[in-house]
Amino acid sequence: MNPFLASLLAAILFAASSTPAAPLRVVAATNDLGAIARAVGGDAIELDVVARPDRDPHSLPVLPSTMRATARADMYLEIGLSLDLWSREIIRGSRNRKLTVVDCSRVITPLEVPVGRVDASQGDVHPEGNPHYWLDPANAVLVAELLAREFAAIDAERATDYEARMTAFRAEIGRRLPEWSERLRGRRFVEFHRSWVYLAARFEMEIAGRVEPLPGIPPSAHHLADLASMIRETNVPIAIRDAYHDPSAMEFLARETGVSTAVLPTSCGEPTPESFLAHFDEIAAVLGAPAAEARP
Amino acid sequence: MRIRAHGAVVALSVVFVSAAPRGDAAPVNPDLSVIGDIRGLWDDVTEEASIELHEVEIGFVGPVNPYASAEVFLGIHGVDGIEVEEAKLVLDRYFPAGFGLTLGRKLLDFGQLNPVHAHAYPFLDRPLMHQEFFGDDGAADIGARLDWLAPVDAVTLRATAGVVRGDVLAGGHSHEEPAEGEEESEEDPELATTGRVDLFVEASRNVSFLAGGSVLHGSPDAHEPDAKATIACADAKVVCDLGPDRKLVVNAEAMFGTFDATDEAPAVDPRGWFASADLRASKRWNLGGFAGGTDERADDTVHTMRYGGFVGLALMEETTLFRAVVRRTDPDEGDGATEFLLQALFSLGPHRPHRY
Repeated sequence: MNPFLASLLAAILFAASSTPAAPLRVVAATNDLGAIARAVGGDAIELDVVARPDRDPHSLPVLPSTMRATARADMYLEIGLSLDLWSREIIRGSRNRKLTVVDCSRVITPLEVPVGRVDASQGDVHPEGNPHYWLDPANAVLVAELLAREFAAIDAERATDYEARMTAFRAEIGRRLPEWSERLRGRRFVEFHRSWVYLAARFEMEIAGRVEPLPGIPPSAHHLADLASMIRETNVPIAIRDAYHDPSAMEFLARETGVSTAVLPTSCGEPTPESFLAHFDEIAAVLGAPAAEARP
Repeated sequence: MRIRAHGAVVALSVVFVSAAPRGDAAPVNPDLSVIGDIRGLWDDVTEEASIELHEVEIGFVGPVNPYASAEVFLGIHGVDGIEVEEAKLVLDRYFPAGFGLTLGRKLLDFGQLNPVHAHAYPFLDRPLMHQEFFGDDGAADIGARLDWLAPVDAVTLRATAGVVRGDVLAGGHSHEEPAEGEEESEEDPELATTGRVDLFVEASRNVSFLAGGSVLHGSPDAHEPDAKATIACADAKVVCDLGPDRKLVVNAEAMFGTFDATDEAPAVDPRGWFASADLRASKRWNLGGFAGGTDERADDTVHTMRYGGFVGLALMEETTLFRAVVRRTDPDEGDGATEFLLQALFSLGPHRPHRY
């Protein structure tokens, strides 16, 4: 064989063998799942996120562009527990027969699973349990472990990388957990929606009351008056809401009781591991601040 | 497609209340939903007020396997008839290369407003041009539709093509009782073809745009299959996200028809248009206005205009809605009418995702 052709052939074969595998294309329902996916997948995944963190994930309009992103994806990460019902619409609309759909809720232990009959008289209750599980860092670790397995199942070549990144993420959460715990343990607060039950359970916090009398149901004047009385009588120091919740109820409580109020998002701002961890730092800073201690 | 079923409202209500989901619910059940539409009406012609159970819609939606889903919607108008609004199997993720297939009866993808069930309109009823061209329920028919999501990156491009039975071109039907001696044709119509292309663009984080073109071609008269009709529709929608629970939706559609002459009617080229703006001011309140006009389908020299305003209040989320509409209808010939409508809308069952 001509030496030049032989060299060319060898170069082509070498290039082919050393070309990195194509990135895994992942679509995550929310920034939080996206952040965990990025923590496990690193640069080996190409990531799209559906929900904006400043919009209510319970009722998201399905944009055609999310179907387009999912059409070329290898994997879709659902929140599950009937929170992101729009995910099913996106998956269907993607017309992607090769898509692997991962319901991330399947590895966590749901809280507030209703017993007996469930209907709309109980508000917007989720029959499979409270879906805001990513607000417990321990659940984030469980989801990371799940994603390391799922990524490896369709990209075995990088299985050890996924495992290594997942281990590092787990270790980082383990390293920060004591500090978060120290700041949050025993704190009391009022929440707007039933969003923070996983956080409260993890850090032994007390949710003293809720603005919504039932999930998704706006408060009546009577309910707010009762809540204000309770806040005054038991010295609840802080009330929190998400950016998309109606601020007027919190303004009423602050005016009537002097309680501190804060906008505390339930989702991290960016789909990155740094943002996910910083979100818990922010939660610890707001709910663990000296002002959030019980007022005298 | 109508089935007479006296007393069906009461019987079906009992079935669905007992089938409400439970904490230990069997996961094989489809999602069941019931939507009730109760209306009050006053107009300045009769100067009389009335109240009616305008429609009860019952929906069954669920996957039939991991790659396909099915949807059935039954509409009950008044208390004397059940109508199959839609009954379709969708092979969502069955085919390669971004293709999907829908089989059965469905609201056609003819413009953006037609596939939406009327109770979701903030302006209450289908645009006048839909009623004139297709009847009270819009363009719906039985057939097969192939859709395709184009594998491009910058924009979302979708195309559909389908074959339907052809009833849709016969002009649909009215919810009013047929006049004495008037009967619906029993003869099978000629098959009709439909097609649509639409393009979705996110101009910025808060502004998006969907524009499309649709066409429907076939024979409107089973007795004269050589007399053809073509109806085209151009549509556009702009959505401006103004913050949590606040957005502005602007819709505009225009329809162009061409009907060949038949033994009984001359050739006509009727036109119609509709535009609306809906401002969702908060989670509970929305308001807006609309205007539209249409030629009579059988006589393109006769034109009717309708315009008005609406306000909506979601009492408890979107499960209990109240809407008020005032609208003016002005035909070329005869007196116009101003109507005041109040609507109470309730829904039982799981919340369906909001379409764009």
